[in-house]
Amino acid sequence: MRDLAKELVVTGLLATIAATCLASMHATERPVLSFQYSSGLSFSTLPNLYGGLLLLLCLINAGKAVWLHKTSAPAPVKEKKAAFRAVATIFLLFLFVSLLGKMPFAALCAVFLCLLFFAYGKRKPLQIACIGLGGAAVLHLIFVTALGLRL
Amino acid sequence: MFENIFMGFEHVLTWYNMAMIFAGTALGILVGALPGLSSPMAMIVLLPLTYSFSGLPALLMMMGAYVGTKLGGSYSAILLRTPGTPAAACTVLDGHPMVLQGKAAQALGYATVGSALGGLMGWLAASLCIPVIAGIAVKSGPADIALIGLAGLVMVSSFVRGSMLKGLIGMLLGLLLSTVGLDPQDTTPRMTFGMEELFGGIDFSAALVGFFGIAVVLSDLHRIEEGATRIREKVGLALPPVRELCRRWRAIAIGAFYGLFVGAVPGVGAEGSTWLAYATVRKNSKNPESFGTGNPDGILAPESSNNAVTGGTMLPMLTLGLPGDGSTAIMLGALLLHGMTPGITLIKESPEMVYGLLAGLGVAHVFMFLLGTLAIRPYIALLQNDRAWIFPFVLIMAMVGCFAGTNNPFPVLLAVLFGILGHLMELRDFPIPTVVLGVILGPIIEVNLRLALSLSNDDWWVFADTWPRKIILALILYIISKEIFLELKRMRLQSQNNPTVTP
Repeated sequence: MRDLAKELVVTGLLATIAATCLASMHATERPVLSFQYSSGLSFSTLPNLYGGLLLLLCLINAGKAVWLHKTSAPAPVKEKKAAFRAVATIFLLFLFVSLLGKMPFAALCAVFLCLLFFAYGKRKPLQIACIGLGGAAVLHLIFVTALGLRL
Repeated sequence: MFENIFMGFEHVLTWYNMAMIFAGTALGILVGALPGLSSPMAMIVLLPLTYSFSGLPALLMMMGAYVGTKLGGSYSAILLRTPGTPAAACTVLDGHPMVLQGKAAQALGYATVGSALGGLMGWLAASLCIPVIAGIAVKSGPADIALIGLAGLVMVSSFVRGSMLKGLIGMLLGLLLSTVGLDPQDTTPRMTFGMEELFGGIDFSAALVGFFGIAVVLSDLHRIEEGATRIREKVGLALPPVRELCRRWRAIAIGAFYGLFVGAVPGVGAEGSTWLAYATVRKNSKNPESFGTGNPDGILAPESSNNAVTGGTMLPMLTLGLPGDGSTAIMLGALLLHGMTPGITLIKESPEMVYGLLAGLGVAHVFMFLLGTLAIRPYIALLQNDRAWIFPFVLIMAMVGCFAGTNNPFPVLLAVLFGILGHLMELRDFPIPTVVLGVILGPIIEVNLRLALSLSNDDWWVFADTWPRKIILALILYIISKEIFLELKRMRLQSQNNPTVTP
């Protein structure tokens, strides 16, 4: 993907967040039984100000990127590998979150660690299993046994 | 003045608190030594551990980690020519040539002593300044607090790496996120999208873990390819003789001076100060050509500056609640997670915390010196580890830090989403600390802004009715207008130099 396109995608994402927040504030009605406002600022003043300015600055940033854009070479293989690893990490993070509290912590950690080691290029099964299981046991000992966190 | 400092030591000099500082410093040196793992990451890793402790011990542990990473960063810079932290990049210039000359032990000795002396000088200066600034700060009203918060945000957006436009975008995103939840005055739900979990606002731990933990790991995944580097020879540490240090006192003093002043400016961090110190020492040297070939002054100055920054960053953090860098932003977040409001409120309500942290900074530097001198071998062995084995553990500890605070997976989910957003922003050079700072300072600014208006019957002139307020307002306007002018100048130059520009 070109440099300009990447810049526009990220700026567009931030602008979308700002626009969604502004739309949400617009849809929020002031409760009938609310306090009398003692100051000139209502509940929506600052979110609207921040959201509006964020949207405006995103547009300026996009305009600036278009103004200064230059063609860039395709992503090198190393960058593609890092992108794959980032996607794999994000997928595993979501998996971890969805299973947190539903599965024993030590088992979840062991699975997560082993899969991430594999995604990060480690290929020796015995080494992966040893460090994954050992690491999960240590994490369980620290957080659950020693610190008493309810995980 | 001194009774407050003694009170701080009284709280810190207990076996329990000293053990916390020691453990934090040991972890900090380790994390700093590993290229790709920085000071904020060490503190994110510590976050889940601190839930089991009360406020001061938890923050002291983080303080130890903050100090430790400063020294750890120099190990890999000197031995592997890969700075462990961005601030240690300058140490590579003269540290690594010394290794090539077979003087690795001496180079590590200079780095350890330079870091310890610079850090202690920074701590001493901070100890003398903080009571004075705190004395003035406690007289501030809500309008002052709101303006100081705003000025801090603008300064951070302006001084962090990248363009100010991107800094401001990050800051506004943080401020917008800080308004999520029930309105503090009339409890109207704002941007909660019907989710009860958002009624209490965005969890600080989710923002910290997402933007500083997950986003940084995702952005550093390409470094796994670099693999681990092996050091073949056996490396120890040789402390420089006292006479040699006395001869080189100027390099240490200049480093400490820059570190303290640069650190005190919110948002600048240590990177700028190390290069400034190095350039000044080189310029004033009788043999400037010897720099870059293994001159010990080229290690002492940046390392002294790097650690003196810790004293400098404490000035705005402990007195005004403004972080000097990413690490202090996390410390502010940790204060909030432990139910304390950073800044002037903290000085008024918990002076023992302010002066305890200050005393902890000095103790952490002593521990850093001892650990660096006595336990360097295991650190060098550990810094040769492959990052592929370390990142997964960092991710788990970061997520546990987020989950353990509420025992609810929702903040963890938010942290992952923030991590993805932070990673995308980092790829395009949006400075992440501005977002976190916006999340932390947003509620403080909002509450004080509305309180100031309420107290003045909606008179907006309340923000310009005293000289300090006028000066802060003028400072904000000056920084913004200067940055706009510079940005336009940069754009014009860029479009002139770039033949493929399509206006």
